Amino acid sequence: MIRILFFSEARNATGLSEISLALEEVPDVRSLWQYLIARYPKLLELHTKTRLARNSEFISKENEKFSDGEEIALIPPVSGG
Amino acid sequence: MVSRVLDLPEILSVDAGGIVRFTGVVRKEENGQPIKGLEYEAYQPMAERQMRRILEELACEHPIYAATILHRIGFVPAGEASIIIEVQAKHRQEAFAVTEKFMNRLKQDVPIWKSRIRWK
Repeated sequence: MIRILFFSEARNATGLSEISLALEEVPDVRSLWQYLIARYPKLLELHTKTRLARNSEFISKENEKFSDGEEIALIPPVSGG
Repeated sequence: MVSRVLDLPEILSVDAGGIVRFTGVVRKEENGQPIKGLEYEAYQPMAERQMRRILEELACEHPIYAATILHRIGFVPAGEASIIIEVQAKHRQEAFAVTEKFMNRLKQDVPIWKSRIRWK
């Protein structure tokens, strides 16, 4: 299983703070976005400006593959400070 | 990261010739309208990790003795501090440079958000 965390606008778009998904369903970045947008259409407009983090590190590779037990976070544009 | 009023007592490093402290304060209005305050949320483990990493990167370019960052999460009333950063260095140049650059980097790469405005 992998945990998907939703913050800020992403949480508003899904109505959820987190979900757990089977790795087989979403083995990589592309399939994750496909899955999420199909299920939570309001994420579509956030897609291009939202970064993903994997175990607290930004994902830089375009289609990074996930491993079981990982924590993936949707990071919409930040506004700290 | 803390959910209470920020307080950073002054701790002087014996060698620091320059100590810069920046405080970010929640302004009393947003787009011309008065507000009660802002709600901050964070992806805490990553936020702390990113802040540490950013400081390490900056310290390679601008050697410093110490840096302390406090960011408040939860509701921060207008007029109160949301962030305090203090940088100690041998000279003021490094202290100013790291403080400014850190704030710029925080506003791009640290997972903290103003999640809600509480209007008056």
